[in-house]
Amino acid sequence: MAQQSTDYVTLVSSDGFEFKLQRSAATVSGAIKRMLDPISNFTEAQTNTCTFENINGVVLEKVCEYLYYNEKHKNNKDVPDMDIPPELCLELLMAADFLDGESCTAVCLISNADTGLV
Amino acid sequence: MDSRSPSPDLPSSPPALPSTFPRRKRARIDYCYDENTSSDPPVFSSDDGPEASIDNYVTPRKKKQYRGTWWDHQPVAEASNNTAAKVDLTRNVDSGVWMGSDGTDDSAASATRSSFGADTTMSEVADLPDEVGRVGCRAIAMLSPTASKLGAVTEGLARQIIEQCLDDGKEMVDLSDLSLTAISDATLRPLRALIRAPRAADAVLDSRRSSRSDSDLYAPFTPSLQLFLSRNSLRSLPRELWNLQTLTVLSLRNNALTEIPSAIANLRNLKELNLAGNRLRWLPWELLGLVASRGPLQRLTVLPNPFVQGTRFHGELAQQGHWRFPANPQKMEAVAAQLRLKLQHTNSPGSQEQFEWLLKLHEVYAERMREIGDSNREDNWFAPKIGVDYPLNLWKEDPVHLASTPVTFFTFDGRLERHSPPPPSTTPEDIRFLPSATRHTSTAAPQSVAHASRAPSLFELSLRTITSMPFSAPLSLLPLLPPDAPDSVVRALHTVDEAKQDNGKKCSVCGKGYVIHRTEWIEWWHCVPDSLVTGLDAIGVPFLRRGCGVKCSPYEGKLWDH
Repeated sequence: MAQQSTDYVTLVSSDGFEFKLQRSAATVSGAIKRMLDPISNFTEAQTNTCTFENINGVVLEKVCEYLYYNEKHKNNKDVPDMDIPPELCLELLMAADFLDGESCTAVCLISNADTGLV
Repeated sequence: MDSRSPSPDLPSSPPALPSTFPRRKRARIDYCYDENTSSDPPVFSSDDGPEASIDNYVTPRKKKQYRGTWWDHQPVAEASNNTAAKVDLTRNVDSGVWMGSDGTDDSAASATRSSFGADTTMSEVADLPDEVGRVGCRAIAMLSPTASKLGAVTEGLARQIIEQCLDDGKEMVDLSDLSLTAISDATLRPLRALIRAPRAADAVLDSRRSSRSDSDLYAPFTPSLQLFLSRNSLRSLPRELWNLQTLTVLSLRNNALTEIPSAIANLRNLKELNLAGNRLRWLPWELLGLVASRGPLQRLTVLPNPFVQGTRFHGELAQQGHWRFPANPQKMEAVAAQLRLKLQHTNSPGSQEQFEWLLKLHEVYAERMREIGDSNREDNWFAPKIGVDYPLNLWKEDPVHLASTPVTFFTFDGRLERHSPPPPSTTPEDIRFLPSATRHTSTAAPQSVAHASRAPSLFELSLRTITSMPFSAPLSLLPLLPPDAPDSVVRALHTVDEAKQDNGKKCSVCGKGYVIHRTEWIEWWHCVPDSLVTGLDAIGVPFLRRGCGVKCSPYEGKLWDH
């Protein structure tokens, strides 16, 4: 039975850590947005939970931090760089590549346009 | 001893090699310990081989015989045979002592110094055919260079010239006409250490005579370097060139350069730059920052170059070949009005474009003149009168933006965004004209841009972290990646590596450091600060501009107010 889409979603890392985020922040990432898209029939969309088999807890925590950082500075003129520990940068780079790591509104708009929603 | 020798004439300096060169040499060496591999005295008896004897160590009275000037020794050595037996024992190895006239090949520094352009070296070479391989090798190589050696030889020559300038404290480094195909960082690096020749003594004398100011007396040692690389075949420039902060004049005229890197912004003291006669399609945006009235650059020569054009001038204008600006505000307004009229009555889009360009230029200048007039009316030092020409440096010094290409957008990992025009930096050589518009309307911006975030992407942030990591080359991280790492990550690491070697890139809009550019477009600017007459191809010069974020584009607010 499909649940209703909630304000908060859960991101689960490969080693079982769960992070609860605001949906608006999480959907900044194109990949997460597509997974949680209510019109798709993905399990993620129905349970409001994304599980990442290839991202561990430490990295996913940083990803969540970025998602909120992005949300916060969306319309700010002078955005300070977020601090990233050097030992994490390679894993984050891979994660960012996987997650489409930024506001991919372009992709979403186009996909929405394809489905006739916009 | 001195009385015995016929006193010969003093030889001119440098002295020609005597015909009895080996003997003289040995004779001189007799009063040294031994001609061993070093000038140190032998410590063990085994050092000298089987001929070793106490005589090798003790040569007591010889010294007296050879007292006097060194050229007096020559006839004595010739005359006396009493040292011959001893001489036979000695090995012919480097004495470790070098004199100006004996052609040992460890004398590269001095011998080669005279080898460029100096006739003396060539005559020496002619006199001593067996020495050709040593002293004159460079000079000969210059005359008949093989193709493979050419690069190395000319680069070596450039190195010598730089060395010479360093020694003399000369600020003008002339490397033109050397048919250089490339210059390495190592060749240019010593120029950083160049120190102006001290003028203290002269300055003190002068200041006593005529009471000159202290600033003349205490002239800094910081040189104002002038580097001439004109008429070579350079295709690219070494990175080191952009680290020479003391450069004031740089001539790259008549080379084969295809790109000027944005690192040129580092040359904050550059007063003169010549880029004429290359294969440049556009200039870096950063160069414009040097040109503006607050920048240091006073003289910039960029034509001829195969620049991409934003508009095609034709009709009456093309026949004229040049454009003349009026220098007073009334005439400027009149010309602007004329152009406006022409624009209305022209139907062909090509002609419209050229009139739009000119109209924009005249409107900006008219506006500037009006501002000058207004400010002067208050000050009252220069009351504007009808028909009075305004000095050029007041209104023509700052460049004027004319037109831009549509903006190309890239995704976070540097791929071309969908529905985006091809990036202007990949324009093939046979395309001379790019579409341009004098004004950007916000409706031209893609919808995606309007909703985009101003925060940098996580991908970009990770890359920036890698850039700022000290003591590690970004490429050394490649083996740490898992074997199935996506292409975009590997490509990004290469980009980081390049960016790091270039000392980082700066966004042309917000000025922040970045790794992967998200926007790119070309702008045509008019910058002819010192003349009222302009050739048609000099009206708009293209500058390539890049932004660090999707929001760093001309669609966001005003960009062209300098």
